[in-house]
Amino acid sequence: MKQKIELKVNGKIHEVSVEPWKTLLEVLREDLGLTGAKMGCDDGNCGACTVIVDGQAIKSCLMLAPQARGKQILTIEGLGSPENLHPLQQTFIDHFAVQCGYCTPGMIMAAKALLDEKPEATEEDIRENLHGNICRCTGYVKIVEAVEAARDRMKKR
Amino acid sequence: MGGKQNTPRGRSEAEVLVYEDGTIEALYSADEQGMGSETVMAQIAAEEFRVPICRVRVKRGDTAVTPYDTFSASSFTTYNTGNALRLACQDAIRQILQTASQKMEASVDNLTLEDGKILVQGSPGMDLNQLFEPFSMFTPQGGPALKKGTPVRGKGVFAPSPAVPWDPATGLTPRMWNWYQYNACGVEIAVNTETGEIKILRGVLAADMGFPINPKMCEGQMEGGFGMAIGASVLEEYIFRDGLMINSSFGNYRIPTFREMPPRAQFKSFFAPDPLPDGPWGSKGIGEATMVTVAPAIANAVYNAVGVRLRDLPMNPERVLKRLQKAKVAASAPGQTQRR
Repeated sequence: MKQKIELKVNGKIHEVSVEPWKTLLEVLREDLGLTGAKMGCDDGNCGACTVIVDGQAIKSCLMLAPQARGKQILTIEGLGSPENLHPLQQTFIDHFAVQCGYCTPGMIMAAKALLDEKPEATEEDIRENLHGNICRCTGYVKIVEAVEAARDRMKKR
Repeated sequence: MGGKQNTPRGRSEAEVLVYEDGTIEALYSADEQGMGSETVMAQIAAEEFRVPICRVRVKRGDTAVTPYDTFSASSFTTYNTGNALRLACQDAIRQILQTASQKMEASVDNLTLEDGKILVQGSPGMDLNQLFEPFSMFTPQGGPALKKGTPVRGKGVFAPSPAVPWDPATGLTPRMWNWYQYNACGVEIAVNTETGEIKILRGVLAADMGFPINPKMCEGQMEGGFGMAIGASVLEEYIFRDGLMINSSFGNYRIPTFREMPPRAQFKSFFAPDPLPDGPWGSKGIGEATMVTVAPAIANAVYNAVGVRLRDLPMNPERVLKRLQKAKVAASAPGQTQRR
């Protein structure tokens, strides 16, 4: 049976009517049309669906939508705009950290949560904190480069 | 050392539209899986027309409007589709210069097109958009001009010259494959003799891509190839039972994560370009061959580290431990020579 819930996504409150077994990822993509978060494995092993809930990077395929009630949800769509990209979005472009792009929104959200919590994150921190996000194309080298570059840029601001 | 031979089969076609405002539109059907062929094709068209890359629009993969291609596979998109696109660009440029030649009463041999301008022996003659004139029942007709509102359309078809089968008597052929691309890989690894786990500590990879049209993306292919090869070498195995794959999730079919790749400073890629005469500006391909040498390098490093030869992939902990135990038993049995 559907129930009405309020979700606060990217600073805006949305009222949606969902079955309680729907995951946050399904509701973001299907009800709210926010298709930035991707469904890769649907069992929490790939990280393509990573969004930030109350400051923490979570896999939105593992959270039921009603569990996100009253929480601040941030998706890749809320991060920057085409005219004003977030430093992570810009450095991912600058450092060629994107190939097929399927893992990219999740990578960027996981990296943002890390840099918010630890602005001085080292390469070791990045590798350790992002290892739940898998990428088949890049071999991760340029992703680490991009996150390090964004870290340095965000420190300067 | 290792490599890949390549013989693209089938043709690639491309079209290019040149609009009067100087916009170039490249149309082709080769797919983009993330390797960056779209960028390379835009670079190719920009180079042919001598315009900044932002002037080029790529329209690809909609076969209702884009011309025939075979497929994007076997590391041949840059070579096959790239050559077809070059021919299409050259066809369009030829049409433009022919019109300019009539209009300017100059020999076509003295004309070049650069950044939207027709140059006569290198000095500016007229703008490309001046060649386009209104063409309707109300305007005088018959003069040399391109039609305003109708882009110039260049077409290109490229089919690689066929490889020649070897002579059964001599075993020789002048051209067995269209090209070879070699790679070399070196790794430093650690083997945990308790768990059988192999960790890749450092890696170097050198690859031949003919000519790197986009060096950063070539690097990306090499890093990605190395990473994917780590998966194939030490992690990934399809396990089937009753015709079904029983480890079809990322939880039990592990692919490399950040942790399996060596740290950034411990991996280096090197270009070893050997230009291919009929490739676009000498380029071949890069994608697949980057994986070829990694597993053998790891296997050799395992032998160097713990003295056992692994001959099956993946070299996962179970296999490594089994092989180490076998070697131990063989070593402790007197009178038996150790088999490797």
